[in-house]
Amino acid sequence: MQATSGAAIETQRLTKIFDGPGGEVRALDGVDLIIRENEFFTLLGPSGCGKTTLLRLVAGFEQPTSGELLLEGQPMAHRPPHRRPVNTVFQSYALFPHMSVAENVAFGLEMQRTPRQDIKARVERMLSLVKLSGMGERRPAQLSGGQQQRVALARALANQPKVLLLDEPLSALDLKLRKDMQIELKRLQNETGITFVFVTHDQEEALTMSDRIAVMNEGQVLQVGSPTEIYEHPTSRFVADFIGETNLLSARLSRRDGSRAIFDLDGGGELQGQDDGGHQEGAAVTLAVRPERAELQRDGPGLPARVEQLVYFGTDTHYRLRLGNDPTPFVVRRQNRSGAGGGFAEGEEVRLHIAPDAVRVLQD
Amino acid sequence: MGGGMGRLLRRSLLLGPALFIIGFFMLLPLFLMGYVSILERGMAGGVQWGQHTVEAYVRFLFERDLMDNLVVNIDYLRIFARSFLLALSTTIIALLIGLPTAFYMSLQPARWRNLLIFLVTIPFWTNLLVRNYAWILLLRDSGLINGGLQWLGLSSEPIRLLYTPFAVGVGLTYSFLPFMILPIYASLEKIDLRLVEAAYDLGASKWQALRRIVLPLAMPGIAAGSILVFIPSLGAYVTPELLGGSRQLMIGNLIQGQFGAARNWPFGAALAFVLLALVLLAMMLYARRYRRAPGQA
Repeated sequence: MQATSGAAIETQRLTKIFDGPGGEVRALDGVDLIIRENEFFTLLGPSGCGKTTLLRLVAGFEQPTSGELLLEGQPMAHRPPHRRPVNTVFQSYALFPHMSVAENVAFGLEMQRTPRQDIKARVERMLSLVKLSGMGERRPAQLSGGQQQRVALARALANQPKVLLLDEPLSALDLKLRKDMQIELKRLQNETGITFVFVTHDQEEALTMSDRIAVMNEGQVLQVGSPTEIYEHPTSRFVADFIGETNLLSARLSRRDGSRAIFDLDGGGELQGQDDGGHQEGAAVTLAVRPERAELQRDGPGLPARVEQLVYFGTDTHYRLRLGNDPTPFVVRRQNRSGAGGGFAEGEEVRLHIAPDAVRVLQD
Repeated sequence: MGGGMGRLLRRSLLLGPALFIIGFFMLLPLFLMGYVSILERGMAGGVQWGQHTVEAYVRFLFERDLMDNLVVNIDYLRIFARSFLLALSTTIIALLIGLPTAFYMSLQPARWRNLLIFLVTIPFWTNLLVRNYAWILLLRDSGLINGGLQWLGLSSEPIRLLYTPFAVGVGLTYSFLPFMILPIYASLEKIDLRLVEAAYDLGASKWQALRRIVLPLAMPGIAAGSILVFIPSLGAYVTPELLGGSRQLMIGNLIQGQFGAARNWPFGAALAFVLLALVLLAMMLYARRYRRAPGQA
């Protein structure tokens, strides 16, 4: 097993099978992943996709069924959680209720046998890092959810881990607090230079915070990339659909024209896209088009469509269109700016214009 | 106003049965006993109503010699001390057995736990008297234990087990062990296992996680279990009577003797009150210690 240099975490064919009441459950199915040092890495996927299992394997709470897990190049097989250079922020925070805030933060340091006077100083520093100075004597139960979250962060960071694991830490907070904590987490990651591995099912959270994202489903990593790559260039139907809103169109590759590929839509009409060279002429493909990348016009070139419904969102308006005889509506998002021209009315016949670089050809 | 009155009425109706039971079956007999303890004894048992004296309390520590002088007599104090010691060691041994048992139970899969609780309560199905007689069969010179030891050739003659403090300790521990296991189990089961994971995650070994997280959080159960074993052990009557013989008197037997053979009701009542006072004192000390304990961790 060759370890990759500069990797904080590396997994090789990592697999975890649970024995459930209904038979075996493949929680992780041959995951290959490299998480670099000092990056904010997000595991994104719906519940049950294996992201939390992966996190628990890294923390050492579970043992892999097969495959290899390397932390800083060191194989972690059979190394118990308390011997791993990793700390976790739990979804439920898991603060020790019988200890004060300061005692909670000091716990890991005491376990490491840090000298007493150093502990005191470090606890102070950690509490000020998460903006909880002066709260050390309080009990966790006396704090708000957001404050408990910060204590959990301070406690996990106090040991100066190589990697900080965060298991949906913001899911229990209300929207406003969640936004604040997102910025706060980003700041902490920049200040500490620690590798953050963040688990979430919230695609917006993933896009705004991460350096890189791994999208997971059914125990497998489907795509790894920067937020822009994941959003702009999804490679699979699942990723395109899970991250943001997407129009998926079934089509057939009709012919090639230089760097362009021409697709025949199953619902009727033709669409030009960039040629990825991955498909033969006549092959069935799925095309993905983001709602904000398509344009509506009264006339001119483009696919004929009919406005079925419009939904007003304040900053923009969503138009649900019927395209030929395609049963699923095609959604177009238009910003509501002054001078952008009048809106379209329900029932109006329009032209849908999609630039070739807005069309993504999915691999499955 | 009407609503407030209605609430008051509803509340007193709900509290009524409890207040009645506590008042009629606990406070009233307690006052009666307290009153009996400061009356003159009747020669054939009972008391002489209206004749007040503190003689019974004096008798606890002194006796009168032939010249009617008070001489210190620590016989009763000794029985009290022995009872306390026996109750304390019973509690400690029950804790040493009960804590790992409860810990083991709480770690079992959910479907096994109810079965295990059921098994712990099985001894309650049999009368306490019968269970103590069973121990006589085990502990006596010709009993199963001595028989077994001799059969194995480990001893040539019977080892005296019955009618010793050991026998009383065994009997008490056996009788009250479930009262230790169940509250500890209840508090262990409530502990969020994620807290233990968090402790591991922060670098605690299994032992450290147990000592720093599990035990402090199980303290309410440990305290409740200890109290539930200590108090009935202290006042135990059947077990020392059957397994201790005449030489291993405990407070319970002493009090019973005063109301029975000795026909000294005031003294029996006074002994009961001294016991009550000592128990309350012990509980107060324990409560103070316990309240401080979690913060020290």
